Amino acid sequence: MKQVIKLPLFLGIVGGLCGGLLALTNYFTAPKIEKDETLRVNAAYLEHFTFSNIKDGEITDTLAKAGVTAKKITYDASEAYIGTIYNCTVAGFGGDVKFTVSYKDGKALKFIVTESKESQQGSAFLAGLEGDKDGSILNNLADNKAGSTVTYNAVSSAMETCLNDYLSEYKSL
Amino acid sequence: MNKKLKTFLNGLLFENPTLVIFLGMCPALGTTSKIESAVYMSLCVLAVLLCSNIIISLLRKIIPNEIRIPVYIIIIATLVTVVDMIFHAYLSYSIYKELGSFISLIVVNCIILGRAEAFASKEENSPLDSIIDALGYSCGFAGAIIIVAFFRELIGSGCLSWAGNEVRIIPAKYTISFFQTNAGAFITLGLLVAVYTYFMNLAQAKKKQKEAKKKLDEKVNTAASLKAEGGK
Repeated sequence: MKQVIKLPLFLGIVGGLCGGLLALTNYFTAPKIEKDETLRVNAAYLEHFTFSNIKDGEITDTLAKAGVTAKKITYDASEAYIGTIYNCTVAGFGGDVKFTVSYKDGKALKFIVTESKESQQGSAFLAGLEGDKDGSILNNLADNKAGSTVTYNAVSSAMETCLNDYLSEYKSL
Repeated sequence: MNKKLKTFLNGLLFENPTLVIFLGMCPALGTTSKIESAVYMSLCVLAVLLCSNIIISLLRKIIPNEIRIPVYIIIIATLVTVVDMIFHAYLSYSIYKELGSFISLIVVNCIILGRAEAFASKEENSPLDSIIDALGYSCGFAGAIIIVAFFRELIGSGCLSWAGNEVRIIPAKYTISFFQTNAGAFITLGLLVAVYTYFMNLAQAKKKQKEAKKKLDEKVNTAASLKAEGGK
């Protein structure tokens, strides 16, 4: 068989078989990965606020562009508004960074990473945003950004968009 | 020495990928802050190297020479992605996060492609030989990075930990946190290479001495027997 046909054909067959193996592995592992991620996100919601009721908020085009995948409005037992939590997926340096960020009393309250495969610097930057910051997350954003500029740009852009969305609705909630 | 034992010991000791050939430096420095991460990284490399060696050895007679490297890369990248998906699904999230992008970097780990090209693809090496070669090299890699991780974690944090359980060996005030940093990783690895090279050179010198003595004894015996015959 001519080389010009044989070589691409062989490559195509190998590529096809490898693709099949990947599809098969994905079939078995994707549901488990999704289930674990949902559990982590739900646990993160409870870390943000102690709420009795949680409702889905509307995701505008601006929010969707910024990487917001879900908006949760939380209420206590007497249906009084507590705060808003945003789920975001942004493109960091090492891949997608998924996080939840909560807003309360007019400011960013807490930041929790639910999924990330960042480099050491990226992970250190994200770790610096986690924990109780008493509303000073956005002020601290630029502190650790050295060596993780791509992740910083992505995260800060998403958080600013969420803050603007929250502030536009906050007083009416 | 039996060929299969020699193949295994080559990867484990004489051509240790991390301590002698200096391959796989990225995970050796990046995933050795804890023993647990080093062990799981070693398992990743073992799985990928073993499977890639077996597959490439089985296909070695039919892979066209002109496209052998792209074929190896497709196979290795697929195996790495499969291992990544399995670890993501079944490993604890904290460990998976710790390994992070280093799992994907196994694709460009020269140990994998190097053994595929230098050993598994050769016609004279059977799939069984390729399996033994993969085991030798991955054990060599695992041994090196686990030892680095042991010292880094012990001296850097004073503790040894596994699955969330921690045992404090050195009181916190005597630890040197520098060893938990990247620079500390370099120095730990460098010291390990120095110690390893010293003992390997010592062992080789002793072996040469033994061989030289054996040759000398043979010469003396031959001379003595010739003299005895000449006397007769």
